[in-house]
Amino acid sequence: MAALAAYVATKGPGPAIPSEQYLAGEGDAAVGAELFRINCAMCHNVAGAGGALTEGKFAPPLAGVSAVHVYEAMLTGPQNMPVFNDANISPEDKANIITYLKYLDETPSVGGYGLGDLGPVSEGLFIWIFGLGAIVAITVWLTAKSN
Amino acid sequence: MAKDHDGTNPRAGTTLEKYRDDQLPTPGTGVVASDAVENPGFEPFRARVSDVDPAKARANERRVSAWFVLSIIGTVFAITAYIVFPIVDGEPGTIRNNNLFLGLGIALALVSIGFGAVHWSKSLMDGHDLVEQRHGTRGTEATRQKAIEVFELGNKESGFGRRTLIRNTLIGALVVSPLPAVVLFRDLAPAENPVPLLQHTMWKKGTRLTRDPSGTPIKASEVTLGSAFHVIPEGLNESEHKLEEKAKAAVLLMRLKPQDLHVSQGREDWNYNGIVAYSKICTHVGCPVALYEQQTHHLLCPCHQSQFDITQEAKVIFGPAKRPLPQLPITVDSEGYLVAQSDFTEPVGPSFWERKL
Repeated sequence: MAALAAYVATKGPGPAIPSEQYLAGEGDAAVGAELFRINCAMCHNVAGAGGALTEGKFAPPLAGVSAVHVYEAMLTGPQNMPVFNDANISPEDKANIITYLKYLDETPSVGGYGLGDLGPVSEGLFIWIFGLGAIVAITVWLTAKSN
Repeated sequence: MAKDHDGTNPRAGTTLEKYRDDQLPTPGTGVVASDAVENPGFEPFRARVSDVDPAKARANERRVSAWFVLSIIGTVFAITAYIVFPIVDGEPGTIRNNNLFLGLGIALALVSIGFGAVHWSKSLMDGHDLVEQRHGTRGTEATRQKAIEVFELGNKESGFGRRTLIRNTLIGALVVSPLPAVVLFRDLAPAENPVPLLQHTMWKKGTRLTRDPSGTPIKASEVTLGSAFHVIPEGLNESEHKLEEKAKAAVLLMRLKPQDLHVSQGREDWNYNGIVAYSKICTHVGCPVALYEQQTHHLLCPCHQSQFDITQEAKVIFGPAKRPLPQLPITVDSEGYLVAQSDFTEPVGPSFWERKL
């Protein structure tokens, strides 16, 4: 992979593979979270669960994505993702964002099963089907005559 | 005779008459239909298995008590789980386990009591249908007479009807006492006319475009092709009503190839070498529009899927929004930083009654 990158670099200037110091996830997760909410969350979801764009395009979930991929994606803007160059989000802030994503990956959901972290859509669907379903089933049982 | 404090009156304290022949439920003012459906009465009584087979009745009895035993097990489980899964400081995962198993135990205990009680009543308690008539709520004649006497005695002892000065001033005091509420509730209305607030933002000639949230200014040379910057006006972080101002003044800055932009007349100098700035507040209901696709140049609002085409000055190409996003005219100052040429030329965000455009 490094050899391939070196070959591409001979063809013209471009961003290099980011250095290790920004990828370790040792930045400030709180700063990273604020930057993530401002710059990333509208497409990638505040919990990094991904989301839909126009005409079938989508922003992918960020859980389990390696730090080097996240960094390179910010720098180059793959597909329809905008570019976040080092003047917009500094390398230290990119490291903070990576730290936040690592924190999301490593922290278990305290509130129980997250239902895909999609918020009111999946949670509402769940309670609508299973919550109301249970109420209907119990009502039928309560009012039926015993055999 | 009206005094009854010693309890000598045997009728004192009697409750309502439950039911009297002269107080049958009346039809009230309801229209009596000439072809009303006849009350079919009850279905014929059908004995349950518990009624005819003592062995089945005993089986049901065991089932009901099994539910109640299960409830006891649930309670014991909840107490055990609380001890076995303690909440450890600094380990949020332990809160989940603690809550989960404690909750499951308590839920099992309570639901089992409910299920057992319902199964008991359905399978073992008397199974005949019955009707309970409503009864009138009129008290007995003696009760009513006594109530009138209490009032009359009260009037006589207090002189309420005789001392008219006291009575009238009391009524007057009660009538005016809610007036402070009028003053209080009046203050819930906006203190000043909100329309000018909706028509203007913090942007004015020469205000630098700065990064959200740091507030550092942006050089035109830093906005490379395909970039998207989230922008707030300079000085927003120090302003008094920071959130209110940000909700109006938030801007998305993008750089396209200049030849991709279809610039209309009068807006030729609103972009700078293909760098354009548009209000981030959706013209539909005001969500922040920031899902920018750098290849298609479409901007998507996540709330109701309105789509704006940045190459055509944020024209609406899909969804419920009715107007394009307002464009912020920008240029560069002598140091190369991006600055606004003026405020937005129209109100940002959703429609309001007094909006002229």
